[in-house]
Amino acid sequence: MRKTLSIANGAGFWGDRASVPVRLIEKGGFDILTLEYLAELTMSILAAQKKVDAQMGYVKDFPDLIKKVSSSLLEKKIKIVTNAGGLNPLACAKAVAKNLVDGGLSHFRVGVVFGDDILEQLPQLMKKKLLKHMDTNLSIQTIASKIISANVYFGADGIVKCLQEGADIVITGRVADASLTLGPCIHAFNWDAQNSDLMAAGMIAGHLIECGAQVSGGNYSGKKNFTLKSPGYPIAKINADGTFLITKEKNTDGCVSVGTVSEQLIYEIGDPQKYFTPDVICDFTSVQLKQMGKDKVFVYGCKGQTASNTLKTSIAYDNGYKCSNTLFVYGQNAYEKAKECFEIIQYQVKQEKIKLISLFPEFLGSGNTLVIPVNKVMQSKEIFLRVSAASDQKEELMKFSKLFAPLVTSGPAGVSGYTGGLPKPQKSLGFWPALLDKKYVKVETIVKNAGDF
Amino acid sequence: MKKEFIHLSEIAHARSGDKGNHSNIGVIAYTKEGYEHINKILTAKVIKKFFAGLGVTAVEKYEMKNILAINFVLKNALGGGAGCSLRIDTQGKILGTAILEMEIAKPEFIKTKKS
Repeated sequence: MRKTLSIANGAGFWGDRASVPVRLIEKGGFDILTLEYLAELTMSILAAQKKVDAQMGYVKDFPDLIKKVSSSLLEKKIKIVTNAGGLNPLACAKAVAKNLVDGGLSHFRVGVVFGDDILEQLPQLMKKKLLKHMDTNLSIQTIASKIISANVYFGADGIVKCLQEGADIVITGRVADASLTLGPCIHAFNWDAQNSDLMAAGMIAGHLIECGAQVSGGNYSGKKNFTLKSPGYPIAKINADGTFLITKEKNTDGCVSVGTVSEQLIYEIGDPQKYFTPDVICDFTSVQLKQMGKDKVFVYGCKGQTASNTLKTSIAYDNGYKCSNTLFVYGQNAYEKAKECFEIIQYQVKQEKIKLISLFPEFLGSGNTLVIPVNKVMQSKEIFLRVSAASDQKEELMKFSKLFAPLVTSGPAGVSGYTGGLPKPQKSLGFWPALLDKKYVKVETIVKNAGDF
Repeated sequence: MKKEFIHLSEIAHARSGDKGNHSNIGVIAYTKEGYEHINKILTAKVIKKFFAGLGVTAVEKYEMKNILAINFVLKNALGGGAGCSLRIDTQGKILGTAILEMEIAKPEFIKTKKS
């Protein structure tokens, strides 16, 4: 039995620095690389891509990465666990398998976890009223006709199954981000899923590394004495007893301290005593942190309780369109002039009878963007006026965008920055977070040699 | 004697993010004294008032003494959430930095610097 397992994270979201996982794999020195790509928003972007082409709907960067690093993967003996599968894990696995075969690794085993996509089952589930909104009593019927994607968050079990069947690379759809880390722990240490404290330890390690450099100096708001030119990405060195060390790549910028780890521990949580995940309910108030030297924080004391019977379900729906326009306003009374510009836009919207659902100004540089009491309007000579609007019709937003350039000749003096073409309306997406009983979904897995896909 | 003020950033650091249309802000004190102090002065009511301009409907407060932190959940703070918000900060990323700008009465445990 293993005593320790080193798990690195090389991506905190789709769009994170692409050179990082390449660097990590080429340097090696750990067992598992996790790559986390799926924000709620990402799922609906992938849904739109899949609608256009049924073979798409996954994070294309991942097969591209495999193409670059296949020889190092073999040499450094690194396994990868990623949610790059998005809305089409099987298509992602096929693309990865092809690149493995091209790189001479047809014997590499690729595991796929799927079954989280419940879009096709949705009419039945809605009919039986099985989807409960997490915050309100709203009925899903209000958005039923506009739904784009619907996925439950799976836990670690599918990942564990793939690893047990010898997978070198595990590709999932929607799983809880931290389960990408817990899965390899359960497999390596043969942890008992009934042991809630161990489950919590694996999830908390995952929570700490899942956002890439956010635990190793990135986005740190405290007093800092380090640079961030190229921060090291995190590595969790996990022990079989559930204690672990958070550290980062050697000879890199950034920092791992009790401060940086505390900020990531509290990131995007609600009640810290009841952090719900598909695998366990974690108690974040039990976690103890201890600095063990430069860039090393020891984490211990993690406690958990048995998971609930429900899974979080993320449902995205079409919410019309939105569009933002900006103008640069200069001069001694820049804020007043920017306000005048916005009043002109408001008036013109009425005059032209443009159908908008909402219209919202921001005076960037005024110190008033967040409308909080301490941020009194500053006497800045430069203001970036940003006006955003929402509409259920794209054409109305095109008309809205055309209102801005005329202000340069017919508005107050000192207005510029309108060039660069009209901004295009973007899709506005609504989210309907729900809970679904676990018994209505089934985790499915496939593990095959790359050459057999 | 004139009352002295400091920014919250002198005794704490913070991080914020989103969960749908809600945001959470974790405020972490540098010292135990700092933690006791922020736990006393940063009530849910104070936070709700501070961010009133964002349309926050309710604030939940949770203690995390193990890391000298307080977690605030700001309900409906994000103008609809990441997918449809019209704001420049759709995900509440800057709310943590914003709270550190809060001016608070200088607590007694901070030694007065020699002028």
